Amino acid sequence: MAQLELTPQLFAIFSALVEQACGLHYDPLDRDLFGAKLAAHAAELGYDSLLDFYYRLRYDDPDGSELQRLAEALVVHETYFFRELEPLKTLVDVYLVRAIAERGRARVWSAACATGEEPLTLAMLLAERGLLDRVEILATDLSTAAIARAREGKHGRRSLRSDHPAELAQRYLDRVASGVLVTPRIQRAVEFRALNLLDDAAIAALGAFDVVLCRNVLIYFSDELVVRIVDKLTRALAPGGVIAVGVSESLLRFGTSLACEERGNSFFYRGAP
Amino acid sequence: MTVRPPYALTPAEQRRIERIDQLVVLGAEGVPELLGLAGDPSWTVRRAAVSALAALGDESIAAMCSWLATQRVSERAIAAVVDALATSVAPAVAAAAIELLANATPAVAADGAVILGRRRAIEGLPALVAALAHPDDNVAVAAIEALGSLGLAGAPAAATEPLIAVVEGRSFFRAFPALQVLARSGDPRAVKPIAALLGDPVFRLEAVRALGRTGSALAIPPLCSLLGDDRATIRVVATALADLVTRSEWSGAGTHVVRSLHTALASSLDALVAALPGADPSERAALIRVLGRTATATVLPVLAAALGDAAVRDVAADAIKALARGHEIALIGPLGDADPATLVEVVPLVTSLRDAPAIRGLLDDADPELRARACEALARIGDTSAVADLFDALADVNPRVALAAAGAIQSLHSAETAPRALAELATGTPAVRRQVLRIVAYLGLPDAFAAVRAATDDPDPKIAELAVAAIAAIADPRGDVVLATLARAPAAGLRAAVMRALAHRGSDAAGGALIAGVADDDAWVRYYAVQGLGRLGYGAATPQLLDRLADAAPFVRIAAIEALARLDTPAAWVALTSAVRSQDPDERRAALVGLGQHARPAALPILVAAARTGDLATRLIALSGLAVQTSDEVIHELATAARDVEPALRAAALSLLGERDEPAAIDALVEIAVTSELDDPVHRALSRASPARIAALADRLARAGEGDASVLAAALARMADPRATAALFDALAAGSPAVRRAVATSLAAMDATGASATVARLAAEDPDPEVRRVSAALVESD
Repeated sequence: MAQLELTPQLFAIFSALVEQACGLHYDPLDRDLFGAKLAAHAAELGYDSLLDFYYRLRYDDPDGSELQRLAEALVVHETYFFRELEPLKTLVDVYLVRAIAERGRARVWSAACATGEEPLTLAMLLAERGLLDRVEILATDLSTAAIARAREGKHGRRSLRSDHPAELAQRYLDRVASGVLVTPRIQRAVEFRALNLLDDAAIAALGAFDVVLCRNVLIYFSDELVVRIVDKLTRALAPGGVIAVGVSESLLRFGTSLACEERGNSFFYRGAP
Repeated sequence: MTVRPPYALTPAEQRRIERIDQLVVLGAEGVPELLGLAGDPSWTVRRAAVSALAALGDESIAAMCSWLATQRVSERAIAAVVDALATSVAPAVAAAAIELLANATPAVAADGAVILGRRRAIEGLPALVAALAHPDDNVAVAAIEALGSLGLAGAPAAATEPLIAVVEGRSFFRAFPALQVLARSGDPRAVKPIAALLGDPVFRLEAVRALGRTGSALAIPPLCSLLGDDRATIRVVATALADLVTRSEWSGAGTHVVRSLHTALASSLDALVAALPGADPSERAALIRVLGRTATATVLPVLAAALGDAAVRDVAADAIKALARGHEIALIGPLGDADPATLVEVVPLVTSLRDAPAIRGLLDDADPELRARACEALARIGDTSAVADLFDALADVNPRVALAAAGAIQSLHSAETAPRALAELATGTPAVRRQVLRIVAYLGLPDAFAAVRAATDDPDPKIAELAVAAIAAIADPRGDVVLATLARAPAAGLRAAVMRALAHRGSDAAGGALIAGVADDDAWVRYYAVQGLGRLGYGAATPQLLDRLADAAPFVRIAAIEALARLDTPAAWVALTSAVRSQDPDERRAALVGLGQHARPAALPILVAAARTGDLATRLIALSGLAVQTSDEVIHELATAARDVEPALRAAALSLLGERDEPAAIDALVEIAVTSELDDPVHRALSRASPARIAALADRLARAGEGDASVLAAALARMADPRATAALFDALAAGSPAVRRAVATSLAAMDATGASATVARLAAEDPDPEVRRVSAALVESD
């Protein structure tokens, strides 16, 4: 399969094409990972040359469906239940409790949710606090395949890591031979929808949220695009709402009007009141 | 969120910058006003003033030095003037800075030191060494830091003992920077005085870090002596050891260092493992790196668990690979009931047949990603006994698994493959038959002809197209007839597959069918027909290919450009030089690829122009095209690209330069290497071993001085090639003291055969005292 090797030149044109279409940014250091996924996808489609595949995407994909399929194959769906749990607990105990106390209900948006483990974890935490019925949880992702899997409520074995909180898992998850099932009540609490974070109109139509989760996602975008996305997320905040990013991420270097708050060793970015 | 507005100049700033442009034209007359603008409140205006003053060269030096000595109206103006002197185009700045260093005002003297350091002005060495004893700490510290900037590896050898004296003096403000500079110098004399500070609680931690920075095996015993301490210390030591390993790889001492570490750490593995919990990501990465280089299979579960930690995953994977490589150990077995998330990260690291049973067991795992990776692993380890299981996996519901299984079967050469493939072709499900056809196409199984022929009539278009590819791969003359017939099939997809197949098959009959395909109604049929004609070098098709340059489908036009490029005819040349000016970037790139395939001198200016501007892909293609040319201009262009701001372009240019053995290419690499960090890819490019490269480096080393001797010696040492090692020994006879010092250090670091005796001789007999002292330090530690 010599022609499915991703040369630096091919990497440059493919990564530019992908970034233009869906914003995913690949650094030259990511070339091997990008190349492996691209080659696998192209081979599955029957191509024995990446350049042939590139021309198909560039010149013969009028509705962008092939590029969309490639983007779905490239997007990393690494997520699991109870990932970075402490910040989620803080979001519930501090921000959502407060929002509910003030307005009776709250809204949460999990942007780029992949197969849904994050918003489902949040739902479990809310259920523990008796607040599940007071919070609307919307979870979106670029990948229609990931959203379809999230809606099924069936997750692979890797969605539950060895250091998970046993009590929570026992209450809300069922372990089966093929993986993990979510209890129906928790599953019903999350609305899953496909959405591209570059789609301004679609985001504007979502309304305002008390909490926006965008964790371990912005690392896949260029700095320029991160600024634009954070701007969109900020506009989606209700007054005093917060954005939560991954524990190893920071918005401070992007020049934002959001106020950074530290709660319990986690950082949150609060919008204007 | 308020998006920060782009940085825009105010009208007043714009006017001041325009004034600066006018002042530059005035030359020396404009300098006083420029000096005034060096303190401007606007950063942008100050930068313009700095550039102007620097560009004026000799015309501004005296005024700037006088200003620094007598005016110094504000900190930002001082910083700007220092910047201007540091970046001035005039070589005379060094002498002026030496005078500043002698100024009675400490702040002025310190500025002089800073300027010398930033200019890497080796002529300032004596003055800087003298300044180490300055009564003012700020001046001494500035001198220390300047000495550290004078060469790639830090301070020159003549500064080593004065810096050691500073370290031994244990002045709080001076010893710390001196420690850092000494550590980076690569001078073996530095290790002992640094290690002596381990007993002083004030300097201990910095001494640990400094020992790591030496990259010297001499630093291993003092560092490892601390591994019985508390966990915080162990983590710092591990970080230093990881740094030491990295730096030793640059100097060519990597193998020797890892061997030494393996011995030194044998009794400390538990302590290193115990230090992992609670460590921060950089410390965890260091601990894992050290364990991977020096440990045994007993630490495998620890390393595997680290794969689940995103912050250290790559380091853990490298550590596991290094461990597996070094010890030929099974990876899966020792992990027992590992977390599925851990297993999925470990399986791609498997390289030993010892893991075969465990990997085969994973083919039934509930996780499709694990099943797919298991298929890939079986191919990688060469487990031919797994072929039957892999054929079963072709029926996997997950297409990634099925494809991985097909790929594995293709890789594993088993007697079982052909009969099983035939059986599956006859009775398998459509999904299985698709994969089997891929296998047949890869292996070209002659007995499969009839079954494959039948598959070309399959109602499933995917199967039919795969069957066409398989027919082409089977060495049966009936295949030509089949393909000729199918070239007229109703389905465009099938006709396109036939064109691809004809190109791969390359039979005598292919040309005619491909020419017919060039006129097909379907664009993709035309594309593959055109492509095939180019690949087969079918010159008779030139008129048809030229016609396709005006095809309605852009990808057909591009294929025509690519095909003509392969034909290398006068008509093709005209077409390429026209297409290189196309509005479509992909057409331009295809033309550049074509121009780059043949070393026509007339292509050189076109490729040079394309390499300098435009999008990254175009520039990369142009660079690759330049590489086949032999003109001296090519090396200049590659050298320029090797300093580009775009990392991918730099890497490509360095790689292309690294493949050339002309002295000019080596000079270009060395010029870049002497000003690059130790982890820059230029060093790898420089140390590609070949007889011509070794000879060229040896020749350059014989003439080397303080600035480049260590770079050249390290390049030869990194090659780990007997001829390169011999060249190092030879350099001792022809080279300067700087060369002899660098070579002695490299040979000792490599633990090369004969190094001990040679270094001992240098310690006793070399006419240069610095060479004797450095060699003595190496002998003492042997």
